[in-house]
Amino acid sequence: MGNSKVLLVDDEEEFASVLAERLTNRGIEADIANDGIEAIKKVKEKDYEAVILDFAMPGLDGIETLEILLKKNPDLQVVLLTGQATLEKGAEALKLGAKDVLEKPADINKIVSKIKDAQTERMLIVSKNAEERIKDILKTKSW
Amino acid sequence: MKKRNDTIMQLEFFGKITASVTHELNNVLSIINEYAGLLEDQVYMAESGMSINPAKLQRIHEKLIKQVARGEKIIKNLNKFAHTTDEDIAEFDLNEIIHNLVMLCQRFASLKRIDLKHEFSEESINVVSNPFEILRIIFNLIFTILDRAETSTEITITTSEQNNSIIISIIIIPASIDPEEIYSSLCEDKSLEYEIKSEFIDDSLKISITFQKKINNFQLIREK
Repeated sequence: MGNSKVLLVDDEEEFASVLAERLTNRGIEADIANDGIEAIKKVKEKDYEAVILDFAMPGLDGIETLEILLKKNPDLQVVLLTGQATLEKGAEALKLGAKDVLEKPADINKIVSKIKDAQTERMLIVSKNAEERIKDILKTKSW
Repeated sequence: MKKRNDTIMQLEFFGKITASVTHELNNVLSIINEYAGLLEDQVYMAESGMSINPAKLQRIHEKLIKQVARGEKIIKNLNKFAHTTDEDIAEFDLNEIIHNLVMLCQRFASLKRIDLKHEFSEESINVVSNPFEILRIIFNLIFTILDRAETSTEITITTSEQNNSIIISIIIIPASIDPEEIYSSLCEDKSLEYEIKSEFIDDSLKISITFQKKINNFQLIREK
C-alpha cells in the first residue's frame, strides 16, 4: 500500500471503504480497521497523521480504543466520528484527548478539514520534539 | 429492590429499542451519504476531463439499492414493534412477534459479539394477550443475558405451545450465567402472570418462561 496517512476505524466495513475511496480522491490515503483491537495493532505498526474513530463498535468501543491509543501515543491526532453523539460522550472524548467529535452522516469537507488540522498539529509537535532533542544534544556538548 | 412504576419500565423498553434502531438507521444513511458523495466525485472527475466508468456507476447504484432495502427492513421491524402497543389485548402470532424482537435485538448482540437467533416452526402460535408486555418481559431477559454473557456465547430463542400455555425458551451456550442474576431483572414484572424456570443441560442453560395462551383482561399494576 502507498504512503498511508490516515486510519479509519469503523465496524461498518462498507462505510469505511467508501469513505476511504473518497479521501483517496482528495489526495488523502487511508487504511481501514474494523475494530479497536485492529486499530491499536495498525497504529503500532505505522505512523498515522490522524485517526478517524467510530464510537460504537463491538469489543472495545470508541472511548476505550481512544484511551488505549492515546496512552501509547499521546501525540496521536484522533477525531471521533459517531452516529450517537451526546454532549456527555462528546465531552468525555475531548477530555480524554480527542481533537474533535463529528456526527454521522458527516460532510466530507469537514472530515478533510479536520484531517488537515491534525496534519498541521502533528507537524508542529514533530518540529517541537526535534527542537527539544537538539537543545539536549547541545547541552551535553556544552556548546 | 425499589419498586418501579410499570409505565416507566415500558418507556425504558421502548426507548432502548428505538435508540438502537435509530442508530442502525443512521448507519444506513451514512453509507448512502458516502455513496451519494462518490457519485458526486465521479461528476467532478468527468467535468475535469476524466472518463466515467459506467460499470463503476452501476456498482454504486446497486450498493445504494441494497442499503435502501436494508433501511426499509429496519423501519418495517420498528413499525411492527410499535404496533404491539395498539391494544391491551390482541390476537397475534407469537412466532411473528418474537422473531421481530430477535431482529430488533441483533445490534445489541453484535456489539457483544454474541450470536442471537430464533428457531421456530412455520406453524403459527395464536395467542390472545398483551403482545407489548410479553415482548417487554422477554426483552428484559435477553438484555440481562447479553449484558452478563461472554463474547462468542450462543443464544437461541424457541417458542412452543402446550395446552393453554405458551412457552418461550432461551438457551444459552456456554452456561456461564447464574440464573438468579437473570431472574432479578424480572422481579418487578407483574403485569402478566407467568412462570419461569431454568435447567442446566450439558454445557447449556435453558430458561423457560410460560404465559397463558389466552387472557380475558389486562391491566397494568400501577404504583400507588
